Amino acid sequence: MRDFDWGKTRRLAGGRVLREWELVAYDKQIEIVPGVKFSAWTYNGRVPGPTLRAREGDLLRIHFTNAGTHPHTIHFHGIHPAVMDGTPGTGEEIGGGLIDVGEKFTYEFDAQPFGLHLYHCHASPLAGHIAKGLYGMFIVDPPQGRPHADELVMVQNAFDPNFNDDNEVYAVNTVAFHFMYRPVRVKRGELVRIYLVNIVELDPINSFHIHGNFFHRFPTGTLLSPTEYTDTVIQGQGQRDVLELRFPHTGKFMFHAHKSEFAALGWMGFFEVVE
Amino acid sequence: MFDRLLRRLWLLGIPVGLLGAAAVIAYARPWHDSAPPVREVKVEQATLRPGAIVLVVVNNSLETARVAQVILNDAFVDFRQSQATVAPGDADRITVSYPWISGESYDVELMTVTGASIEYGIEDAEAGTQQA
Repeated sequence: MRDFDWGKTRRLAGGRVLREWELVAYDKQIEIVPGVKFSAWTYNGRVPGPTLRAREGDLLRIHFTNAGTHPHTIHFHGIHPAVMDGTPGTGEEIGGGLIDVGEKFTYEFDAQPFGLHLYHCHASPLAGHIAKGLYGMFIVDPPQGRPHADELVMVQNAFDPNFNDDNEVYAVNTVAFHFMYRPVRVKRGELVRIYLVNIVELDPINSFHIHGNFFHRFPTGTLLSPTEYTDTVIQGQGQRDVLELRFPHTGKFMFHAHKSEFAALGWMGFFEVVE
Repeated sequence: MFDRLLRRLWLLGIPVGLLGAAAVIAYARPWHDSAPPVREVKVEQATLRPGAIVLVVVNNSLETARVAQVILNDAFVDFRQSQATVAPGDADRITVSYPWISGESYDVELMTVTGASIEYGIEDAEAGTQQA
């Protein structure tokens, strides 16, 4: 939840920062609710994939290897050339587009605009490749940065382990109910920043609600002024928000989808506010 | 000469072919119910008592079954089971703690360790035992 991957960096002539990552797609069994294993497709063996983080204006190189059992891609949200879009049918002329099993490709583009973005596989069937686990968060910080905060990654996701086109398991960061048993510990009065995305397939919307508190909402994180002060936010598929809040009281405060079905199927947890 | 030989062979082939087809049909006996026995894990009985639903799960498959979670009306629920695994031919009793309401309907989904579902429906709930 507090794991950010800034990549391997070096400064180029002229002072610009180059960030590089290695992402490998491969199949792996993961536990999605206690006792239940799911045959996932992963980036780097985890669902969601690593949270890639950069600053606006950096030059990014993502070295992708498809070690899975199906053709895959990495499609980044952001502003970039068509050949770097990670979409079948674009970029094949330089070895991109759909990356076959055993093949490699390097995506290269500028980090822009600043905000909270996504990356995910764009191979067909699209819903299937995403629902199997090929997605992650891509954060571009504003050039001047954001105020210091305790930063948290929350990827709202879901799974359909019996393949009936209806999700049975919901969570943030994959494991249902995990934060019920291991609350997210934060300090009273400290600024908490939540990077929240919704990557749930098969359901049209998702939501985030917090008990005993309100947060400032920065839609897609692309503006530095909040647009809303609330305790519940609705997100469609692929939608993102940066949320900022401080807890004035100690104790345990629940957070969960306000779609009660999702909450009862795993998407709920606790903050534990301490001195 | 050659044409006549071909014609005789052709005429001879018709009864041989018919005999062959009859033999295949007789062997397959499609008029009999030849479907293999259903090999599945299923709920065979449900007993409703105040605050609890007790399910009897029978494993008619060829592999050991393990129920890891129970979903009832789209919510994970607490449960306990008589044994951790159900061997082929064996049965398990799963007790779900649930404040069921008389006259309402319940969809039960037993989730195995592989994520597969064993589904069972209760309609018009009332205290007592019902067979699948």
